[in-house]
Parts: sequence; structure tokens; C-alpha cells
Amino acid sequence: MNEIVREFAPSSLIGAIEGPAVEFRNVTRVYGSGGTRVVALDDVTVEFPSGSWTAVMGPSGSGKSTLLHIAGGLENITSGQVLIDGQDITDASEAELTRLRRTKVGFVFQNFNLLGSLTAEQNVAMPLKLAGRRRSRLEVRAVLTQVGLGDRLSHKPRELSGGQQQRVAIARALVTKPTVLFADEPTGALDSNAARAVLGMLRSMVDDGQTIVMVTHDPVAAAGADQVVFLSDGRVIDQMVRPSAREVADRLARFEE
Amino acid sequence: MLRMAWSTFLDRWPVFIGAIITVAVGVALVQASLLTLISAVSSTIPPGLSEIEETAIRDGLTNAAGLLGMVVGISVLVAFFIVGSTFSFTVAQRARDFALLRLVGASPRQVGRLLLGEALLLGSLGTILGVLLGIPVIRFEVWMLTRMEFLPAGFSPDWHLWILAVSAGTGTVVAVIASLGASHRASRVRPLEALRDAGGADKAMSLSRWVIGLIALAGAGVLLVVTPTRVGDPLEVVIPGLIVLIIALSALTPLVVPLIGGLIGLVLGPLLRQSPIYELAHANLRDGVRRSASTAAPIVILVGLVVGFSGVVNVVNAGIQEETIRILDGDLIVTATKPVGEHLAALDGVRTVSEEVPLRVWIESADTEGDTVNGIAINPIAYLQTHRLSGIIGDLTGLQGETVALDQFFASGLHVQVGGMVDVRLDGATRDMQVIATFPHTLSRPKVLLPIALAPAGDHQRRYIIQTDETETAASVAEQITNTIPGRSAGSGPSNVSVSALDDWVLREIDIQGEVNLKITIAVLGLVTVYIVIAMINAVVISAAPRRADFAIARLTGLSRWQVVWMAFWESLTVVTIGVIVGALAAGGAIAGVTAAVSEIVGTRVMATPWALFGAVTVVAVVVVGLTSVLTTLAATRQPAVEVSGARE
Ligand SMILES: Nc1ncnc2c1ncn2[C@@H]1O[C@H](COP(=O)(O)OP(=O)(O)OP(=O)(O)O)[C@@H](O)[C@H]1O
Ligand SMILES: [Mg+2]
Repeated sequence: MNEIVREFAPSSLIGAIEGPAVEFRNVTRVYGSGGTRVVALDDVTVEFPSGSWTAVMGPSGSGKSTLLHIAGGLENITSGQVLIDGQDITDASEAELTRLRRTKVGFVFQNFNLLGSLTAEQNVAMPLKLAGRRRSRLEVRAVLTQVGLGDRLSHKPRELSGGQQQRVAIARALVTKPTVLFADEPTGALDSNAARAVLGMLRSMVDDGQTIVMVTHDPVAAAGADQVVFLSDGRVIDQMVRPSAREVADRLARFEE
Repeated sequence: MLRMAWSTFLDRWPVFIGAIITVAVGVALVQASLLTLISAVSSTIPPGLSEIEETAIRDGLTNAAGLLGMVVGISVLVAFFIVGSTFSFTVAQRARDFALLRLVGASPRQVGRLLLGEALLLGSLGTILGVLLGIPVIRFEVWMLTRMEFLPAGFSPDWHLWILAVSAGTGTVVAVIASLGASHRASRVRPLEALRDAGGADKAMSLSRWVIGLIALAGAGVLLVVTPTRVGDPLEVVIPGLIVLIIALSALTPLVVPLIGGLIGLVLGPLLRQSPIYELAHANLRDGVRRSASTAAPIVILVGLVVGFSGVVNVVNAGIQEETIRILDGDLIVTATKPVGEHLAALDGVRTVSEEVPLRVWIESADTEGDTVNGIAINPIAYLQTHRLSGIIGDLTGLQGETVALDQFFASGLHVQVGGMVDVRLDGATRDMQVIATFPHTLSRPKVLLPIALAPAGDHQRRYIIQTDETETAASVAEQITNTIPGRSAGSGPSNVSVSALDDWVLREIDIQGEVNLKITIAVLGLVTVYIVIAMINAVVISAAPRRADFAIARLTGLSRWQVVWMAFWESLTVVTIGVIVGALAAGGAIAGVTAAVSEIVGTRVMATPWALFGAVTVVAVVVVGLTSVLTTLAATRQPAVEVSGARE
């Protein structure tokens, strides 16, 4: 029922009704123990509003990827509470997490993560097949056309450029119409032109109501977002709303000290 | 979905072809030996033969059936093992794909089912090929067994249509059951693993490896240490014990990979420090413990099975030699097909003649089911003079009329003691007989002694053990026998008499038995060995397949193509070393078990270690694996490095 509603209504509207898309309440994640103990996230409380684009920034090793993985239900937490779309996933079963991945979250990563033996079209269709949804070729092609790859349907990943592969990955994440799109350094492996194209695409999705949480090291990329969350040593140390690239760069520079 | 499966296949063909081949050869082998076994069991003996000929054929078929049963059993086990390890390979190599599927919404069950579906598909393809391949394999098997005289000349297997169903069932069931573990492992791949580099945190020893390894180790301990002296024939438990030990040690192989790797590093330390190639090869080996263990698995089976099996059989044969020499006390032995005892006793210089007539007797007691065993009819007084027997219970000299003497182990199996009664069937007549004595258990000697009066009077194989007195030398007595024996003079019918010095005869008999044992080993393990060697080649090809990127990166780092080949070759030599050592442990365990048991039964320490065979098997493993490694690495590095490396992944 919920899904049908979402297909016809902008998710920002639903978000407005349901509250934040993702919510962290005092989340701590500790890796290892004894001498190898690392506190990757330390008592993090943060909200990612529906229909908005949040950039997560911070020095290498500050816990950005960890935060993203936890938000997407890929990683367990040591203590605290995580809610996606109002649903508490802290103690979710494997089956619930699978359902979550099918309906509520989509992932895009720095290293593309496409299935090398499948064509672009097959890669994008895969989530629908796995979810057992009636798959329409038109739907899949529409999404690929939306990311500008309508003429590369039957190319395999190795026959595509890095930027094109990343756009296939984005199309794959979007095809299930997820509540939240998680992206970990989606432009990290791209040149500035390809990066700009990907960022422009993300912007237009957010304008259509998509929620995006994106980890990035690039102030220009972060400046495209609606808000920026700064992490350091596993803690949220600052947040900015619609900052300019310059402001972001200045804030980052202060980490160096 | 089908098209997707096809494109996955095109991308990963070495892995899938490997799985199909292992299923196909396994099915062919099982089908061939099963069909031959069924034909041997159900074949009728042509009418119009003499009783001796008929018995010979029937005994031959019974032996052949036992042999073929062993071939079927070992083929099925090896097929499970090899198909299973091939499927594990397919999972290990695609862990990242599975994680990715999980990431985009596949449930654990879907991933598991995907793998089972693949197993079903590959199993069916393999089965179809296997049934076809089975036809020449049956021909070959029958030809081989007939040539070795395990099957009567002119034996031909009957083709049953239902064997098709059995083969199809075997192939599919083996593929599916063998892939259950792999499927379970695939379903447990976590989505996050798609984001990490190759599964580095992959645990080398899984829980199931520990469980299977330790349980099998305990089982092997029982079979090899506890039971061999408690059964009539140690081989009955030592051969299964060997197989269980191989399973145990294969499961535990990942434990020894770093150990042996470290040992090699220690020995070749100076070399390793100087060359970056060795250093890289060594690091690869440590990083890919599971890959190394999987590649070593067929080598473990090869060495364990071939060296273990023939080693164990050799020890028993050496034990029989010791035992026979220890027990027999005489100077000459005469074999004949007609009674010549009186004639021999009358010769100059002959002190004692002990006649022995071998008989197959069926025997049962009130408490147990009947069994057919080897017996001999004897004259007890002469027998006691010519055989060193200690530990007889009862009075063997009273062996006459309706009495028997039994091997002590056999007697306790029948639940009878001295004075008890048994039913004995001989020449179609069943007699109620009293057990007059029991004698110590032996490896090879007859289980039942009967009074000489029960021996058939006419044509029958018989032996005479002769002690000479001091007046004549053994050689001159032998000469007298040759010159005067009735069969030698024309007109009295052939009695096929031959005379030998007793010691020569024993050695000759042992040699003959040794040859039979070799034939048995070849019959049982010959085709299985071919299968294992195919699996070895397979494992090397499959394990090299996903390493193209690795190789490419190594070349981009500055290694030449030949240096990469050399590196992979070095790695494979280390894997062979691991396989050979673990396989030798399995073989050694079984040989040690049987040696202890045989030494206890025989009473002296028996030693027989098949070093030459071990060396030959090692050379085969080195050559096969080394050559395959060089060829696959050459093929994998044919493309320029940039096209393959991660840059385009
Ligand atoms: N599986 C793990 N086991 C142990 N420690 C881990 C693991 N994953 C991450 N860490 C540690 O947690 C901390 C945070 O890691 P994380 O990957 O979240 O950093 P990041 O902010 O994404 O860094 P980068 O910008 O370099 O990607 C690091 O110190 C890292 O070493
Ligand atoms: Mg990161």
C-alpha cells in the first residue's frame, strides 16, 4: 500500500507526514576489543530530513562510511537506536533487512559495484527481479535514459567509462524508488566533468523529492547538498545548512589543526 | 533469467566447466562400476562345467563383486568430495557477486537457491555427459578386470535401462548434496563484503570444517587404533579408516597451510629475502589459505588413497609372509591333485609327511548365521609336527570323526568354545560336529581344521609338507620325488605334482599374492586416480581464473610475464608440498594402524612402507600441478595487463 502511494506522490510529502527519513539516536559503534579497539561512531545523534540532500564530511577514518553502512542496515551497532522511515531497524532480522533493501534504501559506492557479467540493463533490472516485482523493460529503460545511458543498454560494465558505470549504479539504486539513497563518495573515482554530471543528476532527483545521504571529501560536491554534517573521531562536531563550497572548505581546513 | 545465467556462464566458464567435468567423470565412474558389479552379481555360470571349474568361477565372481563394491564406494565418496570442493571454489570466487546481490535486495535464501539451481543445472549437464562417457569407461573397466582375471573371460556387462535413472540420480544428487555446504556458505555472505576488497577477513577454518574434521578424526582413531585387532581381517576396518582419515585431514588442511608455508619460508629464508617473486608468492599463499587448501585437496586424496591403500595392503602381505615362515616347519612342499601321501612317506630320508587338503566349508552355530570360510583337512599328528603352534586350547590330536578345530577369533565370532557343537556343510552334506580344539588367530591361515577323512578322495588340490631326516639331504629327497612320483610315470594319469623347498615356495606364494594385491590396487584405484588427477588439474585452472587482475597488477608493478608465471609456479609447488604432506599423514596413519594390528597378530614387528610409490605419486603431483600452473598462468597473462587490471573493473 505504502509503495503504491509513494509511486504517485513525491516522497517529500510523505516525509513531511512521517518525519525524518533516517534518524540516529545515541548510536555508538565499536570495532574490535582490547588493543585493537576502535570507536568508529561515538554517541551520534543526527537526523536526515525527508526530501533533502545531506552531505557527510570529515577526515579519513572519522566514521563516515560506518555511519552510512549503519543507516543502510549493512552494519550492526554497539548501542543506540536507528530508525529508517520511522521503522526501528536496530534489532531487525535478516528478512526485515532484506525487505528494507528492496523497498527503502538504495546504495551507490565509489567503486561502482556492478555485476561484471551482466549488461547495464540487466544490472538495473536485478533489484526488481530479486524483489519479485513485475518488471517492465520500459521502466528499466526509462531510468537508464534518465541517467543519460539510453543508448548503452546492452553494454557490460567493462565496456563503459567510469562515469557511465557510476550512472548505471545510480540507475540501479533508483529503480526500486527507495525512500533514501545512500552514496559513499559517488564522485570519488570520477573526473570533474563526470562528477559534475553525477551531481547534477542527484540534484534533480532531490528536487523531485528523493532523500539522499552522501559521503564526500569534495567541498564542491557538498555545496550541492541541502545540509552538511561534519564528523570527526566518530562524533558529529558541526552542521551547516546550504553552505557555499568556500565555507565548507574553510570548515574542513580547521580540522587540520 | 536464462540469458543472465548464460552470460554469467560465459564470464566464469573455467569454474563451471570444472564443475561439469567433475560431475561427468564421477557419474561415468559410478555408472561403470555399478553396472559391472550388478552384472557380476547376477551373472549365471554356464552349465556343463566340472565342480572345480564351477567353484573357481563362482569364487572369482564373488571376489570381483567385493572388489567392484569397493570401487563403487570409493567412486561415490571421491565424487562427493571433489564435486563439493569444486562448488566451494565457485562460491569463494564469487563471494563479491553474492554480496552485491544481497546489497541490491537478494535474501539469503535467494542466494542459496541460486547456487542450488546452478548445481542442479551443472549436475544435469554433467550427468548427460557422464552417461555418455560411462559407456567407454564400462568397456575399459570390464576389459581391465578380465585381463587381470578378476572377471571370467567373455564376461559382458548387461545394459539395464534403469541404470540410466541411477546415473541421472547419482549425478544430480551428488551435485546437489555436494553443493549444500557451498550454498549455505553463499547464503551467509554479508552484503558489506561487496564493499571490501577481496574477502580478506575470510576465516580459513569454518565451523563446519572444525566439526567435520574433528568428528572424522575421532572416527578414524577408532577405526585405525581401536578396532583393527578386534576384527578377523584388519583390512575390513583399516580401509574405511583410511578414507575417514583422509576426510578429516582434508577438512583440517587450512590449519597446516600457514604452518607448512612458514616451514618452507624458514628453509628457503635466504632465497625468499633476496627475490621479490618468492616474497610475493609466499604472501599470496598466506593470504589465500582457503584457496591453497582447496587446491591441495585433490592432492591429499591422491597421496592418501594411493599410498595409503597399497601401503596397508603391503603391510598385511608382509605380515602373512612373517606368519607363514614362523608357523611352517618343514623342508619340502609337494603339491598334487591326487593323493600321494603314502608314496611320499615311503621314500628314503622322509621323516614326516603332513597332508593338507584345502576346502571351502560352510559353518554355523546355534547362535549365529552361517558363513563360508577356508578350511583344511589334516592329519593332526603330522600337522602338529610340521607347524609351530602355541596357545592351542583343547586336544588337537583328537581331531577325527565328527570333530573340528577352529581359529580362536572365528570361534568367538560363532559363540562356541571347545566342546561346543557346530554345523558344518561340506560336499552338500551337513554334519553336526564337535569343536575339539581352538588355535590362535592368524592373518592368513585356514579358519577351520577338519579330519583328513573328510577330504575328497578324487581329483583335488592338496599339499604335503615334508620333514627330512639326517640321512638324506632335502635336495636328494626332492630328486627322488620328481623321479618316482606316480603321476610322472606314464599311464597312471596326471597328478600335477611339483616339489619345492619350503622357503622358496613361501616366498613365491607371497610374490604371487603381491602381484594379486597390485592388481587389486590398480583395479580399485586406477580409474579413481585418473579422476583425482583430472580434479587436480581442474583445481589449478579454477583457482587461477579469478587471479587475472592480481597477475595484471603484479605486472603493472614491474614483474615480467615470466616472473608472474614463475611466481604462480612457485605457489603451486608449495601447494603440492602441503597436499603431499597432509596426504602422507593420512596414509601414514592408516599404515601405522594396520602395522600395529598385524604385528600384534603375527607376534613380531612387521614393517613395509611404500617409499617408491610415495615418490612416484609425488612426482606425478608436482608435474601435473606445475605444468597446469604454468600453462594457465601463461593463458591468463596473454592479454596486456592494463586491460585486465582493476582499472576497468
Ligand atoms: N571492519 C572494521 N574493523 C575494524 N575497524 C574498522 C572496520 N571498519 C572500519 N573500522 C575503523 O573505523 C574507523 C572509521 O572507519 P570509516 O570507514 O567509517 O572511515 P571513513 O570516515 O569512511 O574514512 P575514509 O574517508 O577514509 O573513507 C576507522 O578508524 C577504521 O579503521
Ligand atoms: Mg569511507
